[in-house]
Amino acid sequence: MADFPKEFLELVSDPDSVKMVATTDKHGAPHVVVKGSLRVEGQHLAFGEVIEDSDSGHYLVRSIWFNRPVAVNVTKGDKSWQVKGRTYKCLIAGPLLKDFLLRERAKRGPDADLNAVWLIEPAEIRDESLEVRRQSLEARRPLFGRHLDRASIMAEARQLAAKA
Amino acid sequence: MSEGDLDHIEQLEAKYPDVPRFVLLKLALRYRGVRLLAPATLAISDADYNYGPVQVFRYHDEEALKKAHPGPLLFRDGTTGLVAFEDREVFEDPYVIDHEGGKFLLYSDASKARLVDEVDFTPRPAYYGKRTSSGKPMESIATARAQRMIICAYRHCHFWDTGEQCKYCAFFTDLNETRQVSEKKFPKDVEAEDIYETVREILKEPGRVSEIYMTAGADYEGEPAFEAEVDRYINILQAIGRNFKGRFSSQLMAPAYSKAQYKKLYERTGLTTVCPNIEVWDERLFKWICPGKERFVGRAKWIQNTVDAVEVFGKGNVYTQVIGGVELAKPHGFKTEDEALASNFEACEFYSKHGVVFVSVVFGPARSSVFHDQKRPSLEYFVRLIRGLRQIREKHGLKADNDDYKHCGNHADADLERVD
Repeated sequence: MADFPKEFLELVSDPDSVKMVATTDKHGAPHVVVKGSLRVEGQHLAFGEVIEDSDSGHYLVRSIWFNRPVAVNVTKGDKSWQVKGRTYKCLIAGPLLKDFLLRERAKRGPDADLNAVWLIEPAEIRDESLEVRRQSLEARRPLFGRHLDRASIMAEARQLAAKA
Repeated sequence: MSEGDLDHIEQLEAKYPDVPRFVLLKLALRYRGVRLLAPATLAISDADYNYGPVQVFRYHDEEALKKAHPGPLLFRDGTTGLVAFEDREVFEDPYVIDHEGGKFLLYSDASKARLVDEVDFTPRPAYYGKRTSSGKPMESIATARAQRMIICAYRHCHFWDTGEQCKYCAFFTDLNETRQVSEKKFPKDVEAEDIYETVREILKEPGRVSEIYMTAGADYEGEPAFEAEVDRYINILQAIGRNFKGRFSSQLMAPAYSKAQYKKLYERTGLTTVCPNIEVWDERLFKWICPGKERFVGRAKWIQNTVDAVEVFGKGNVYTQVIGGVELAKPHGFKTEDEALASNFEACEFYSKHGVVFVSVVFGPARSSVFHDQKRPSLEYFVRLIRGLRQIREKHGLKADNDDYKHCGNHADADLERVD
């Protein structure tokens, strides 16, 4: 089981970060939805599934039944973290469900509802921020795929850019 | 390898890849039974888990009342498992549950040679341990599953009075003797006000229940038959309904009433679905296994009433179930599993065409039932049964929402619909 890095924990606890969960349908086609309730719960990621009969609800069941991986992305501004893992548990009663439901009702009013809380067991956690990924790639393959008119490559990049 | 053990589960998993392991285990645990090891028994004594032994369908003596009991088992995927625990039934080689590192762990057998999976139990509802204003323990009024509240409106089945009870039934017994527990030990009547207060109490716990289910022993008093029972249900449903603005997700498992009686129930209460169980489809076997139902209603009328109920409650809001496996009971049952399956699929096809949701449960030979010594068909029989029923219902656009994984826990065929 992977440990959550401090930077990820900060990002996921930021109420303004966008949290997305990706599953796959029975043909393997990806399905991505925003899950604003996603948070860290012990060694797992937890989020609420509001609608009983939703596509993502079906695909989450399919993932826990047939051992299909799921992915999570949390992003804000230039920061982005990705978690790949397996669905670990679907909670349909108990204290965690109650807690998520009460938060949902605090946010959306007393008629808000929640079908289940899903827990994801992370297998891989990666900083997907653009600058981090670019530095990583360029360290391994310095010239791969670079356009030759980039400032870091051209001798007179500034002058050419100014003329353009 | 033996029937329902882990090797067998793995074999079935390979043969039927559309049936997940959780659902196979649910069938297998009902089939082979479960033993709680000492650490697990200690863990369920915890206030968060201990349901206590009080059940709305059965009487327990003083000794049994001292024991801790868990609520329904929960698999990791949320599937409810109504498993048979060894303290209530006798099993040769049950699965075992231990408690290690703060988790309940399911093992293949007493040797603990193979870990099957982590499991859990339904958390004890907050209303357990509380009393109604008349002093009744609320858990004696209603039992809670993961998302269903089960109310028993009348604790005696009058089919037993003349020895015409359904042959697999153990309701309102002490689970040892084949007789109904006396009125003195287990009062028949349940007050509507106690039920109202108990429902009101569970609604205080956020997200604890999404369906109210009611049943009772059969009471054929009145003219036409069952009129007194229908009026009793109306009285109780009206009391429950004081908690809600209008209709509320609910199911009534009761005999197949006339259309006039169903209309009365629908129009005067907030009831949404009914479930007149056929129990066994074959005409000859129905008469043998359910003699009370045959005498006081009759199979043909039972079926017609069930179909008529769709006109009142709507397509998909009338259910019926079979006790899967009793159709093979000796000496009159089907001789082969293929014949038995064909009969069940014929029934499902018939009911589905008429908008009735047809589901199955796994027959468990209870000690206090007439069928206590009957053998069950193979576990694979149940796998074939649940796959077939799901396919037929899907073809007719029906889903067993009120009997799904989180509400009942008895119907593995309904669990399969979670990915549909």
